[in-house]
Amino acid sequence: MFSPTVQKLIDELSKLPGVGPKTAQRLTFHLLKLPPEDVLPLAQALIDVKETVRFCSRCFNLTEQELCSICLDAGRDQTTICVVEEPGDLISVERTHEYRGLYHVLGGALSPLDGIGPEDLHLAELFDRVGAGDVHEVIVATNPNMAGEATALYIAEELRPLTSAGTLRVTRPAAGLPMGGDLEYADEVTLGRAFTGRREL
Amino acid sequence: MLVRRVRMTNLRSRRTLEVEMGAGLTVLVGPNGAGKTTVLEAIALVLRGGLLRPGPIRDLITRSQDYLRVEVDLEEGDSAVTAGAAYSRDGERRLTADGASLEDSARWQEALPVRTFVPDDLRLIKGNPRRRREFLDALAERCAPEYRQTLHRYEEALAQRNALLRGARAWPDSPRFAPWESILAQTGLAISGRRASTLASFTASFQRIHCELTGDPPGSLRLVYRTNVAGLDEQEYRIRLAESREADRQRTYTHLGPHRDDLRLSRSGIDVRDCASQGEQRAALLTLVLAEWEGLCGGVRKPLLLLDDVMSELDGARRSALVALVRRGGQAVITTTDLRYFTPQELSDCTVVELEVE
Repeated sequence: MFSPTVQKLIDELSKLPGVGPKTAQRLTFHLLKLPPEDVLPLAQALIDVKETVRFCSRCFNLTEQELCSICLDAGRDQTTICVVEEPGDLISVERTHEYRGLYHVLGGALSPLDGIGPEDLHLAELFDRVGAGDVHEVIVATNPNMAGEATALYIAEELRPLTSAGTLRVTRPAAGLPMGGDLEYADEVTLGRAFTGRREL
Repeated sequence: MLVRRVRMTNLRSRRTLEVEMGAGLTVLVGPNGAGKTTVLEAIALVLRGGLLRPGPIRDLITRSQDYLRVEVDLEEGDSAVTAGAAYSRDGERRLTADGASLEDSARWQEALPVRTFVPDDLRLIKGNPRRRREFLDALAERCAPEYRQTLHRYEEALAQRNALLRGARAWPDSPRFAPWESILAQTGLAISGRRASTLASFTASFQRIHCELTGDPPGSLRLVYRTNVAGLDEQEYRIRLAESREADRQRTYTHLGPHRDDLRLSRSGIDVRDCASQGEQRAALLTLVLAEWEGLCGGVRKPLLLLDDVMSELDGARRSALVALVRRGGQAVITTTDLRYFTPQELSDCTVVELEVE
């Protein structure tokens, strides 16, 4: 129906998350209508980002150098590692300004159904870092869904020798109620966990 | 919400038919072939999106016609709405609310749950255990809304473990299995515990209704919850799963867990499926349906009860017991070939609709 060049662009766009064939087609027609000076910067930006941005060789955060800015920051607490699934999760934790330690980005979560096993994530690198360095705490901040929970359990189990020896703590962020929310609108699971994890006032 | 009127076009032998319903019990009476059951089919088709019995909807369309249409006038307090459904012979479907298209019948299922008894549909008693688990799960969810979420978590973890069993490279690596098995143990025991406690509280009304309808002594028909995780704690559950990995891998299927639960009906210790007569199996089904329906009547949304040809199943005293039971709930429809199944007093208290062969 479309010329091969146009079809190629539609196909490529529809590989993006959240973009179906319909949206891909709409985006393609939009791009075709734009003058070249509006489209070429996008193309250049795509090339630049792929040529310059890579993963930090230590924590797999996004960086333009060998190590990311967080790993290079000597002022951060070198004895604590926060484990997240994706670089976007790291940004969210950073925005809280509550955490001053290091990170480790797994690049996903365990899901045998999707063919994702431990070797497909940066787990071996995490265990190397924890085993080699002077790490006192690992905070497992994977998503509170099933794959994230299973990944957290896996990490906790693999680090069991160190935690049993008392040289390492493995923790998980508390699950609780959103600030500014109403109890009435909290779902049962969140509310249930918030009650299980209640604290002294 | 109440059903006020049912209009139908091209259903079975009836080209057109309109039935006015009472607010309580409506008795549809007529000879065989008059379309009594068809009226129930029509209501189920609109409000539940499916037939009373399994089968293709197109078989309901009058021969030589291309489509069928049903409209149900519903009333809730002062507001009224007409639920519509049309099906063509080519399988096209159109569901409507006051003429506006609906995606599915979820809106009606939410507002007016329909419960049915069809004597020759014994699938709940004799069929796949999955039906009985679903029956039990629907009961459990009613008293614990988070139950559905636990069930979903369990099913997801089960699918993940089964995927590991199928993947050859994953063998026999214990750390891969452990996280999923840990979630399975936690949610599996929650499910099994909830099913057991749900059944314990359901049993009281089940037993009472069975006595009322059959005159049998209390306890002659028992509901038995069958599970292969009985008595396990979370740690034992995990160990059992870990030990069964090799056997499960050969079957590529997890065999321990509440996904293999069953709800058995037993009479003097023998499974109803194996020993009871058709009549006894139908009585067991009727008891299950009515006990579940009775629980629903206590809720905010009163259910609609459709009983097809139920009177011929029961003897005189039991018929009156059934009518009394049904009248305690919400709106109900009973089909019958013979009004003599009812006492004059009962008939004066309900709406009688006579149907004739066209």
